[in-house]
Amino acid sequence: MNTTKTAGLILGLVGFILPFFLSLPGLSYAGHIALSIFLLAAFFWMLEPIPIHGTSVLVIFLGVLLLSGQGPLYKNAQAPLTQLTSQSDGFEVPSTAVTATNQVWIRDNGSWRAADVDIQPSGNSNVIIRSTELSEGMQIASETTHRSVNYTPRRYQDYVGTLANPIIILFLGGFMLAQGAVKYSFDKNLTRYLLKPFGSRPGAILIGLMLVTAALSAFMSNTATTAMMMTVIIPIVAQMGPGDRFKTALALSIPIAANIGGIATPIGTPPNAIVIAALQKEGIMVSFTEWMALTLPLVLIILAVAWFMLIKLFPAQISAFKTGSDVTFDRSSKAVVFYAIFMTTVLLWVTESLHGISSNIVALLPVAGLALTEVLEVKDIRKLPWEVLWLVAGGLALGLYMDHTGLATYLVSTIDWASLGGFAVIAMFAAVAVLMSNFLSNTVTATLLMPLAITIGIMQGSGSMNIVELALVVGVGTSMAMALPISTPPNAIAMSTGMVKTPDMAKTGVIIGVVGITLMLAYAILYWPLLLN
Amino acid sequence: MTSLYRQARFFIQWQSNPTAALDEFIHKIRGKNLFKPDIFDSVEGEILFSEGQRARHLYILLRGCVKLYKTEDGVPVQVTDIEPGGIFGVMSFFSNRLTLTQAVVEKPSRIFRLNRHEVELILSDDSSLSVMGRQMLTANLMDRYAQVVDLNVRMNTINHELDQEHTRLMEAMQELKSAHNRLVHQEKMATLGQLVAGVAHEINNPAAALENAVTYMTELLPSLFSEEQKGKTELGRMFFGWGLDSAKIQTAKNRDLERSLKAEFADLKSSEIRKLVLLSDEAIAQCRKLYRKGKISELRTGLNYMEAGMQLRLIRITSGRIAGLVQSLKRYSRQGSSQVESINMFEGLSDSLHVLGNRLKGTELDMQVDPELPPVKADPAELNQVWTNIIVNACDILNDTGKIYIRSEISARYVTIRIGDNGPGVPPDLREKIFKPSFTTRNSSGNYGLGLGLSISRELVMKHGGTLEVGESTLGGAEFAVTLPRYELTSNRILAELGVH
Amino acid sequence: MMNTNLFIMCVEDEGEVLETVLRDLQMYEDHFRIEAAQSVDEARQVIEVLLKDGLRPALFICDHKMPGTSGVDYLVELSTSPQMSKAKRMLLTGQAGHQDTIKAVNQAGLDYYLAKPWKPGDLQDVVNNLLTEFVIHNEENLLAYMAILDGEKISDAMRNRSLSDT
Repeated sequence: MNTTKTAGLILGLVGFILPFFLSLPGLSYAGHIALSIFLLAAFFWMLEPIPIHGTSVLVIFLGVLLLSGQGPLYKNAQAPLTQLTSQSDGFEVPSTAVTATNQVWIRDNGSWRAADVDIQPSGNSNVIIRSTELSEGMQIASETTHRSVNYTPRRYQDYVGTLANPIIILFLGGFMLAQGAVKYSFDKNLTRYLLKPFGSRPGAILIGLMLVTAALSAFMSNTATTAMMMTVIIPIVAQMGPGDRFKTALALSIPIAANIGGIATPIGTPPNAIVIAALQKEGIMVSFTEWMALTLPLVLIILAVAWFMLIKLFPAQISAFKTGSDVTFDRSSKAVVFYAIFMTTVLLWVTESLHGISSNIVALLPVAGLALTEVLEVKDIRKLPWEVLWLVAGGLALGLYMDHTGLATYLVSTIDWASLGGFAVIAMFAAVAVLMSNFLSNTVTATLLMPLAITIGIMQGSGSMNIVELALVVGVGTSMAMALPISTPPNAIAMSTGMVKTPDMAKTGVIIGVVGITLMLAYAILYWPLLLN
Repeated sequence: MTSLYRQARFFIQWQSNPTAALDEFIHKIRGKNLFKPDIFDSVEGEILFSEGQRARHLYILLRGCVKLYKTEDGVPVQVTDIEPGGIFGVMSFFSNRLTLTQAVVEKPSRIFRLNRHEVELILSDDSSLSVMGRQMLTANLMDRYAQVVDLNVRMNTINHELDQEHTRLMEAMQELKSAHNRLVHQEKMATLGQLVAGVAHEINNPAAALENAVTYMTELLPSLFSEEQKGKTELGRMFFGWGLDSAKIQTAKNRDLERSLKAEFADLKSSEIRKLVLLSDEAIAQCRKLYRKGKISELRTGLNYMEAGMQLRLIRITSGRIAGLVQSLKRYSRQGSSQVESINMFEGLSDSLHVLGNRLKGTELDMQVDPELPPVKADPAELNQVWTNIIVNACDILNDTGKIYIRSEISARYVTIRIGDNGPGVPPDLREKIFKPSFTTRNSSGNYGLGLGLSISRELVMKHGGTLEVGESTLGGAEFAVTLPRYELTSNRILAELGVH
Repeated sequence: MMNTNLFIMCVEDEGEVLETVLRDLQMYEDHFRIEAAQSVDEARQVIEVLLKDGLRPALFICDHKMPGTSGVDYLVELSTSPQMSKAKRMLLTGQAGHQDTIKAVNQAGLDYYLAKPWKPGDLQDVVNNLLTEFVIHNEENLLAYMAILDGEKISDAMRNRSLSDT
């Protein structure tokens, strides 16, 4: 195992163990557990001693084990309670019932709340407490450090259930469609067909490629789209002379367009799932159509800017390309069934706001349809990227822990966000998201940042607008990280062709990142508020 | 008138019924009491007279059959049959020569014999007797004449047929000759065919290397002349020279050296280490100096120039090989000249071995022939065919792996080339059979030869007074020995060649 | 040097031809270890050491007519060995007769027959195709070979491996 991975392993384990030795004031016992899991997951995801989807299921497992009501830790846990009985000056309770910050925890109807108290020592190890919020007969925790204090364990089904979250089903539907597209060469044929009208001049071909790539990657995985587009551009590149810089433009245009295109629909890329699921948890439903309305204009503008940038940075020496051959779509009966299901699904998704059927439900159409018609056979179904679903599920679970145990609130409470103003917060998250995901997987970045963003959003108040905007900049921002080969798999593929030099990728990646952040902020101020109201 | 009538009547009767006429004749003789007719019976096989005797009698056959014989070369040949009424011994009797034939009685016969006196009496008689006698003689002569004419005609016919037969035979001979020539030619072609295939393969390797080397050079040269190379001419020249003289690649021998160089020059690529391995020790030492000083890019530049030198070396070697092969092939086949010359067999042997190089690839060849062999008289192209035949047979029987040796022997009057192998050999009972046409066992590549190889080879050798024999080789297999008489060019010989006696 | 876990073995007894082949293969030396031997026996010894060092064969390029074991017989041997059979096998020769060629195709599962003399560039084309095929069927990480082998085919193969975003 190489040094990064070893470091990751050690750091993760240390991070896991550390909170058990700490006692952070204001953070519940369960919160410490959540912190352990958070640190472990963060280091494991960042440095990958085990594969990232492995970390994700580990997260679910640890949560079930250590935080759920049926896990060994909380199975028979009962918070030690003491009932308040009136004394002359107040209530006499064990000193362990009062926290270091002079609070007691009241157990009321299955939930907990804290109350500030005045205390006075009282002889033995007890204290007298007084507070306007306390009354006779109330139950308070007699040991505030007990693990059940300030935490109501959820059922483990909630955590395991992230694996079948509706968003996961939505993505599954997307995966089935993508798999079918590859199997029946629909992606290839569609690409060649759509490229035809763009002609033969370098600039036109470039924008054609970018638009088609973006369109496809909105529905298929960015990586698969990139791999497929490589087969399209390699013959084109072969027509150019050795010194022609335009090769770099072509090679870079694909990952850029693929990553940006993935922003356009909920299923375009896994970070989007994190966004939608997080908003759903807060009761905010974003339909397929609404998502597209929010993101598509952004996508188109960034694509235009990217195209312009590529043309200027890497001008073409060749004047015209010889373009391709005839396209024949697969006409077997199964392929036709596939086309039908594909079109229907996409149509229903895009028009969600019109008919109102949730896109998650629509997603079951391809899942059931493609399987029962055997358009996708068992061997195809086995090839689906199930580990990505686990990756997202793990991310969702971590979000749940951070929310349920109050860890998220604790982490963000160290800074006084309200004073910063909405804009500054959005700008900060945008910048952090783009920066982090240049080095980390996009989904992991979204997973780690999303709970914080949501919590801050809630704290800032002013309705749901802030929450949506914060969630969006985090989710969308991760897709704009394209400066390094390790930033996204599409980048790695483009680099491996040998047509791109690292400085070129860094340059374009930084430009896109900056432009992207700027545009997102502009949108956040000008455009999104219009839609969200 | 009556005598004329009687004469005519006798003649007609003599023609139709000689026996009756003769009876009348004898009756008349008895009537006239001229003499006692000597009439006797003889038995089968009795010889009445032999050839070459004095003819003292005239014979008339009354009954039975007599055959006349003439002896040719001690063999009696029947000349004619005498029927009753026939007169024989006539020619020699009247011409007073020795008898021409021998008269042998075929069936028990009755014979009327007359001596000179009796014949004179008859012929001088003034009655019808002499007429009868003369008529009989004349008729006999006419008969003989008719027989002669008949014989002549028959002889003509037979002669004509004989002529035709002769012509046909001549044609058949001609065809046989040309068929034979064709077979010889085909055998030669088959051999040549095998050879050409082998030579083509032999040329494949150097040709492939050559073509590719030229391409590399073409690619490499521009970079050697580029701007960056200015100021590196000394270095370049040195490495280029090393490349020209570099050793040939020997992977097994140099593997350890390669490994140690790889460890020492850790920053160099495998292909660059491979070049270093082929350098001399001094050259490697120089490279080491450069490397230790950290001048890696200079070293790399040098190696580039070395590559150019190596490619040129490769071009030189491979084109030389191809040229050599073509030369040998030309010498080997001597197109168009079937010249009988005074030759040194070593040259032809060498050319044949060179041209067959491909076939001999798997075998161990032990060639110990004196390069200065005394001359023999032969057609060099034909001899090459003989060598090819023997060597290819050996390769076939050894399945292309084994040992073959070639030795020469010089005696006062002969030069012998012995070609032996370590195969199964030829059992004594087959040693003459293999030289017969159409004797063939077969052949590792699955082809069947025409089976003529050895028989034609023997013919070609014998044509010039030589021999081709097979025996047991010193390695336990077969050994073929080609022996040809020495051909010294003495002054007599020269004169003989010029046709002067 | 990127990945030198795979090796290419050339077996050819004629020095000039071997030099030529090695020169042709130079472009792959950053991704594959190039090994040479001048007889089958030598090749066997070299491979023993390579296997011990954890390397795996990707391609064998063999002449046919050589002293000792013939090229075709060696290829048959390789096709039955579990460690070697995944590698691609090609003949580079002018002298395999009809029977030998049939044997190579039927018993050795020959992947390519290139006749000597070959046109400059032909060998590289064949090697490129064979290595691309090998890598697609046997290697996890295809990205490393995108630049040096057939990028189009490799991209297509990756597409069929259901790549996902992370």
